[in-house]
Amino acid sequence: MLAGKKVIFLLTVVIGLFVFSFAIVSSQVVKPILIGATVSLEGKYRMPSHMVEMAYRLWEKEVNSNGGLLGRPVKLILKNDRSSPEFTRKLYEELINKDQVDLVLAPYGSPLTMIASEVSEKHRKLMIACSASSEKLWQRGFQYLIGMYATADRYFIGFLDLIARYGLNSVAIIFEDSTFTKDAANGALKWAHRFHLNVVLAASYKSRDSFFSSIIENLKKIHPDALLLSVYPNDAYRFLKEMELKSFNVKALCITIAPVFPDFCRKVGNMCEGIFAPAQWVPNERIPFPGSKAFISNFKKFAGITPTYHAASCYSACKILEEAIQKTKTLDQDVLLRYVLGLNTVSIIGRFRVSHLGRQMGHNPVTIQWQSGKQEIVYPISLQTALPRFRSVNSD
Amino acid sequence: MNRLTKRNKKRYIPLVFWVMLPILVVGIVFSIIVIQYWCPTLLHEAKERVESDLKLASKLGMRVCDYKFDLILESHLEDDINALRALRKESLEEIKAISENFHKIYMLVVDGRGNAIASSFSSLARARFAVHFPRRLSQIESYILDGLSVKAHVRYFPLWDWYIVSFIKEEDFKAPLLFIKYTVYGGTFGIFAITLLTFILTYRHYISRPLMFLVEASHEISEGRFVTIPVSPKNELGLVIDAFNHMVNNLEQHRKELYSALKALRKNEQFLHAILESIQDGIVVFGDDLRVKYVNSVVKDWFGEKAFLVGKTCDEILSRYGGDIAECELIKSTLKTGIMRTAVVKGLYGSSVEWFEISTYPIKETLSGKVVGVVEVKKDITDARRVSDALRESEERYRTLVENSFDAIIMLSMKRKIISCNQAFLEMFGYARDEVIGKSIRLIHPSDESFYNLGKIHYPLLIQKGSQRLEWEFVRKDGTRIDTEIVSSLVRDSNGNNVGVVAIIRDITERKRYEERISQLQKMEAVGRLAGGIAHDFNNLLQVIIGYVQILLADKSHDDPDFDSLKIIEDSAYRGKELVQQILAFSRSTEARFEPVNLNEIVEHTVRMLERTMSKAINIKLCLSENVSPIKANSVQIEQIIINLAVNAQDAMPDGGEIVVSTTEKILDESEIERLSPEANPGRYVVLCISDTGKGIDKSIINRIFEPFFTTKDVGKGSGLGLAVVYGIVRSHGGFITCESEVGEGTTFTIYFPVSEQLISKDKMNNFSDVKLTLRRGKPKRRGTILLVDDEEMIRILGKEVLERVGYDVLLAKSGEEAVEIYKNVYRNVDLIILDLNMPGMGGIPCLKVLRDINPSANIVIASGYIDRENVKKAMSFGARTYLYKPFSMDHLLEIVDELLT
Repeated sequence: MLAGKKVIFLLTVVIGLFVFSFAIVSSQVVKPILIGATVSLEGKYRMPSHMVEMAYRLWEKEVNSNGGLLGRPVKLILKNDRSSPEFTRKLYEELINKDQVDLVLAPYGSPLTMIASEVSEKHRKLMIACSASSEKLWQRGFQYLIGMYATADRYFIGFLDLIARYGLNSVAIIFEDSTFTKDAANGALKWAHRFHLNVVLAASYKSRDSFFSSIIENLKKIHPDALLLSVYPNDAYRFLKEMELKSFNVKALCITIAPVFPDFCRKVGNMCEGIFAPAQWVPNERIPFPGSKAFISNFKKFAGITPTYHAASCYSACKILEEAIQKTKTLDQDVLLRYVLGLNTVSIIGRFRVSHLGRQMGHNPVTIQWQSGKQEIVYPISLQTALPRFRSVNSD
Repeated sequence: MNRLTKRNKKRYIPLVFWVMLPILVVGIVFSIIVIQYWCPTLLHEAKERVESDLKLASKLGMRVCDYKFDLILESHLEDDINALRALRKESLEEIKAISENFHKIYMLVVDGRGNAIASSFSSLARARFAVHFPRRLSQIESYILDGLSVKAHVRYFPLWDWYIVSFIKEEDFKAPLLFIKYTVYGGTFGIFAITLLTFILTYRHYISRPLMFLVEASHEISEGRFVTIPVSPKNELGLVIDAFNHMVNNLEQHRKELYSALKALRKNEQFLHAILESIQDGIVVFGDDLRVKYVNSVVKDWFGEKAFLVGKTCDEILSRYGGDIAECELIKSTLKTGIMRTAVVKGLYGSSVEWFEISTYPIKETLSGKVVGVVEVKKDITDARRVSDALRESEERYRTLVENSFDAIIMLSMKRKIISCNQAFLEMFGYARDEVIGKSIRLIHPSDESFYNLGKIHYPLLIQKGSQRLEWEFVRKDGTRIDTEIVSSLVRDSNGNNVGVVAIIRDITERKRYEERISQLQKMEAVGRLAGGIAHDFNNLLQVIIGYVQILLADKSHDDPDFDSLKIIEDSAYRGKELVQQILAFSRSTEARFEPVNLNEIVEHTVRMLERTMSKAINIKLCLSENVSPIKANSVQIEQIIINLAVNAQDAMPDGGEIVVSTTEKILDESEIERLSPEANPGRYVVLCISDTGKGIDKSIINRIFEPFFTTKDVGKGSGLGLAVVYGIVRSHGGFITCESEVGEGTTFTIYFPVSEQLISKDKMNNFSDVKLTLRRGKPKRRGTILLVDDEEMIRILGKEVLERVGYDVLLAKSGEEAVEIYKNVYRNVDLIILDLNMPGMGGIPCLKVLRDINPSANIVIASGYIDRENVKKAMSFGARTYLYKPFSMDHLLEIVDELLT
């Protein structure tokens, strides 16, 4: 009976030890790789940031369905930065220090990426800036920051080349006085001169300026052939509304960011037709880059909306990070950084090749135009889905 | 053959032409279709090929640049000057090399300033162009590059500001097009021409040549030379030629037989022709078909040489040349009956021959007696006919002239019996024609004495002068006399013997009466002028009487035994004034003044006057309605109406009778106005009715009684103006007049005057009875100096006494000249001038002008016993303040003087 009791005791101990050790082992094996980032659930970056969030979530789902990374599942920790740089700084500090994330992803937009990258650089965390293109990002000598986008100064090359080829002569440039928009405008100014165009106006405004009427009155006096608006979506909508109210129009109008969203036409109505926009990528099946077609399809199923280049770029960033981890089999930030700096590949948005400072070199943006309610690629010529159209304008 | 062809060149179109025509048309249409549809297609294809090569070349040039640009962007070489230079150089070389792949297409790169920086066409490699190339992609255009005409396609590469031009020389561009055009045109027309030529040669040898032989032989035969055809081809035409030769041989035999028979016939025909041509009347021979077979030269002369009558029917000739339809009927009748006919018919239109006498003779077959034609013999009788027509027309013309004359025309024998007369004579004297023809002219003389006197006075002068004019009185059948003017002429026969007298008698009764009326009017005008002349002097006399009576009355009370006597003198003087007014109004020497008056008062006053002047056998009865409304009228003219109608009534009652004068007032509605006088307006009227029991007016003339100069009175007894004047006065008063009369019963004239809305002025009502008391009061005393100018001494004395009596100082002047002299000296002291207008010497108006010249503000009152409107107007225009019409009352004088001096 005693022996029986001993046996039962020993058996219980053995089972207990087995369960304990299993629990310890199993608890060590399934620890997910934590990846942190902020998204703007409110504020002026809400719309593009929603695309970024959906792209991150899609990748998380896909990578986990494929067995995760290094045998560990991937868990995204996404926090709401409210489109605020201060919140962004605080949240990234929190993600790295408190949440102990293994990797960080970038927030949306150059201004927030500028702040977020300061935190990641301080903590020597690799950050692939998937939706920032400001030139200033690369002028700080940061080591752990990698760019996905072509830089902002190249956004308007396609549009300017087109209008020069079609005989338009004068250009006006209006831009918000913020990091990305200013860089894009400066680039446009530089390229306009290269294309022998006449820049008749280059004017900036503060983002808090809520009225564009004085700018439009000035434009009416100058009456340029083409107008470039380097602005964020909300300002773009207000500017277009003001143009409509003041019955002002130009032969060619190019706007950053807002026109790449599928619901652009629904929001701006009649003003939509003929508007050009630079885009890092276009959800068009004629885009020849591998994986592009599958991404469009998967994203639509996952998010219920057509992806923009913001989504495609951030998804590509995740894929590059995934490849780096898979190839190097480590989460060591320096190893991963070296791998990414040496990459010369083609992602779903095009070529990926960065300089030793992490600045994107291989990728160039395309130019789209809204024609009959559809986005058509009009530049580069080799990818053209339709010839560009120019508005007929009655000069006063 | 040649001779024949030449002879017939203008007369036929070769058969080959008709055969060739559709072939030619089809060939040309086919060629045009080929050229129209094939040539442009080929040309378009060739052009498209060259143009697409040009576009492709420029596109390849652009591709080179785009490729380099992609490289720059991917490698971020935009700021690498060395790399860019190398890339540009490479691009230029590659662009130049493009032309090696195209035939005769060259490449050219031009910078933004027009400098060529590279070209596969060596002479343009360093050229500078003035051409402005389009930046926007355009179509292929023509350019002149450094003197070289080219077709070019241009693309712009903005990064390097390059114009990439692919071009081909104009001549090289056109060369293939011209080649295609010439090949198509030449080939089409060449094939067409060869086909045509082959057909013509074949046709000429096998068809045309034998046919021309046949034609030539036919012409030879027609000219009497019987020839056969020497050739005979081995085809259908050969058979025709054989048959033709056989026919020619037979014909030659028959011709010889006919020739001898014809010769005999021609000789006979010539003899007959000579006979017919020798006849001077027209001969026309018709066949049994009624067509002309022969006409002789006389007929040809009538119808003209160009008239082709032979072969035409009589009706056809008639419709073309005119004439008488009876002529054809006659010919047809003779042809049908075989009986000879004769008639006179009309000639031809537009011909000198107007009348023919025609005879138609049947032509009968010798054996059967059947009528086979008609010989018509036409004789020109125009001249004889023309003479007889002229005589008849002349006679008819004179007959019409006589019958239509308004004057009576008669023809008398030398024994003064009426041979003939016109209708006017019968109407003038009231006889029927059978009552006068053959009767003595004594018929229309009022007496034997008149008949003998006229013969005694008139005939010797008539026989001496040949014609005579005089006035004579005749009598109508009904016994009424008629004044006439007679113009008579002698009628002589061809030997110069007097055979009768033609007399034209004109009724001048009316003219005579009119002349008498004019004479009466002239008398009346003379009376009027006389009345005007004496009116002034007469009024001056009345003025003196009235003036002094009023001075005397001013000092008398009503109880004074002399007061009534003086009043009667004053009234009589005023009646004298009215009498003068009436005389002047009757003679139209004064203007009528219309004012509200009481018709009853005028009637009573006038009737009292008539009772004194009219026959005692006439009883005048008054039936005046009380309280009739006033009418706006001129009382003198109303009096004239009553007088004229009363005088007429008296004339209508030579044995006496009754005149009833009545007044009443009526309201006439529209229906009554419509019945009485449609021109008048409905409303209230005062009605004056004057009726008599005289002989009345005949219905036939009652509508004419108001016509001027219409009268039924004997000559010298009435002017014919009485009722016309009445009518005129009534119309001028806005009224109307009606007349009702029955012969033997009497006449009633009813006059309607519209009622006046104005009341009768008191002055008028009291004109004769009110004595003003101004003179008698004599106070307060007036102050002022008055110059009284009048040629009548009594007037001057009267005026001075009256004016001084009330306190004025009075200066007197007896003429205009004296007045001027006085006024020159004392005009500053003279306050008023009373100036007589009718003065001898200077006269009133000139004196007035001089006085106003001396003192433009002179107060002048003009006065006269005879003032017409024109003189008053003139005086007022020269500055007179007002006027006084003599005789005036002293109160009236003082009223005016006081008013002007206040």
